[in-house]
Amino acid sequence: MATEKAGLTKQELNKLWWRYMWSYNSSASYERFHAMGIVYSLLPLWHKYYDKAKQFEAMKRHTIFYNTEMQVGSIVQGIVVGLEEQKALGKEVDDDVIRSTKVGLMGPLAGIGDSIWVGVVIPILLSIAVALSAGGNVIGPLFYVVAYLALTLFGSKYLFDQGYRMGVGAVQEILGEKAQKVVTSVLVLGVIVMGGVAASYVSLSTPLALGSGQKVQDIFDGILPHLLPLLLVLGVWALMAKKKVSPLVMVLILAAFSFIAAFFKII
Amino acid sequence: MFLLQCALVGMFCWIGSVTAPTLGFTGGWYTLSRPLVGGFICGIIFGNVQEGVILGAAVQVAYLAVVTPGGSFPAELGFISYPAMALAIVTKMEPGMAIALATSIGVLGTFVLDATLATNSVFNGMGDRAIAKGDEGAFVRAHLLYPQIWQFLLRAVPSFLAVYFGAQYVQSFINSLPAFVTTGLTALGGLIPAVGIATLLYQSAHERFYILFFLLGFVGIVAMKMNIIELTIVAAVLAFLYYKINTAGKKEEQEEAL
Repeated sequence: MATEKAGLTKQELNKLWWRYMWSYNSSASYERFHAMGIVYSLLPLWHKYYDKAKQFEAMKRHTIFYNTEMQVGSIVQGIVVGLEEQKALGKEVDDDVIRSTKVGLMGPLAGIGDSIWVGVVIPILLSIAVALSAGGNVIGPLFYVVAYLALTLFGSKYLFDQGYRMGVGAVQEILGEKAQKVVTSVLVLGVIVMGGVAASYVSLSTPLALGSGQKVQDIFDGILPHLLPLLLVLGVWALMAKKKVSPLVMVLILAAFSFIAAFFKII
Repeated sequence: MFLLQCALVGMFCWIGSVTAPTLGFTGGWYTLSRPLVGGFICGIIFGNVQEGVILGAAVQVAYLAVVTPGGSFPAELGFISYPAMALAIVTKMEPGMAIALATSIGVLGTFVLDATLATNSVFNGMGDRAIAKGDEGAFVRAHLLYPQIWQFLLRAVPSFLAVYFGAQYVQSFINSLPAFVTTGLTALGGLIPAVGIATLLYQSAHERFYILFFLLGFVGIVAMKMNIIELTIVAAVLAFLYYKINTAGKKEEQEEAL
């Protein structure tokens, strides 16, 4: 008589998540990216339910190409753990379902992860940290390390749990319209802070003087302090957005400008 | 002593890499390999934390945006955060010079990352064969051990050599520069952050009205003399209001539609 198998305990789920977080990228290659990391991270689940033969069969189905933004993508890992558990407990879960779930979700999740977490949250935290670092204050880097690790670890664990509990439906929630609105609002915060960072870190001034002995820099300061740095940022922004100048080319243009300007003593 | 310090720099360049099992991307790539954090850690290693944070922050501003090794701004932040920051601290560079050095080393570093991601296929193949043979130990070694030994050779060793043997050459190179180049480099240090900020604005803030929020932040610091914490609070309040307005308008529309 077959005994009823128990589901994963809370400790086992925590362990599966923790293992995932540490090492998914250890053997990343252009050919497979995180595939082997996923196989490695699911080993404890298979150890619990399978004998050797079935374990290696399960390992094999995860060796296919897999690439997403793994911090936000922990929601997919939660879903996969749920599916693998169902399968191990004897439910009808086709290999293709597991495979197509991963392949279908990795693109959208990479999109959200890269645009929101990597593209908005990290730069905002870094902007604040850089501003706090003024004069070499260690509060800056410490703030970033603590805030970023805390937000990411709690966030990833939350998404993993959501994925495990709700399955594919969980993704709908984080792709929703409300989430989009939260992101645009956070972006407002970010852009204001970036204005502040620009004011503190971009610098450009001129030692030129008019015939009357009046300093050109004083005239600019009379209009708005840091007027030249502001115009510089807006100019670079316009060039990059309108003329599609790449950042590297932009750096080279500025380098050429500063050497020439320094040679003629205008900066 | 210097030998040991350089060895530490090499080790951090390895564990901060995108493929190191240092809490995934989270602990390595997005924490240890941010130039601000790298400057801080190199500052601790070489006993000059304040200088490390100043240089780290200056370089960080240039790399605020998403910079990917394959993208339009090729840069390997691990090599920027460790060998480049270490060289900048040891040779007492000015921020401008540190940014110029970081940019060059960052581009060179992308070749190492490319090489890693291309050659790791070999280890993936070993993993496949281990699974086919039913050897779990061999699979784990192919995922965790061999790729990391390879990583160590590709990252820690060159970083160590660059700082240990490079420092004196960099120093004498800087001393030999004509005055206008030094002035130019210092000025460049103030200009490159504009590229980092503009790249970020260009990548995330697609609507033109965001420029108003940017101006507000700028004026808040230069004219209203706020510090960054005060500015962040004001920004958070405005972001909250923006969210409220955005969602309230939607509700009315829905009601009208009914």
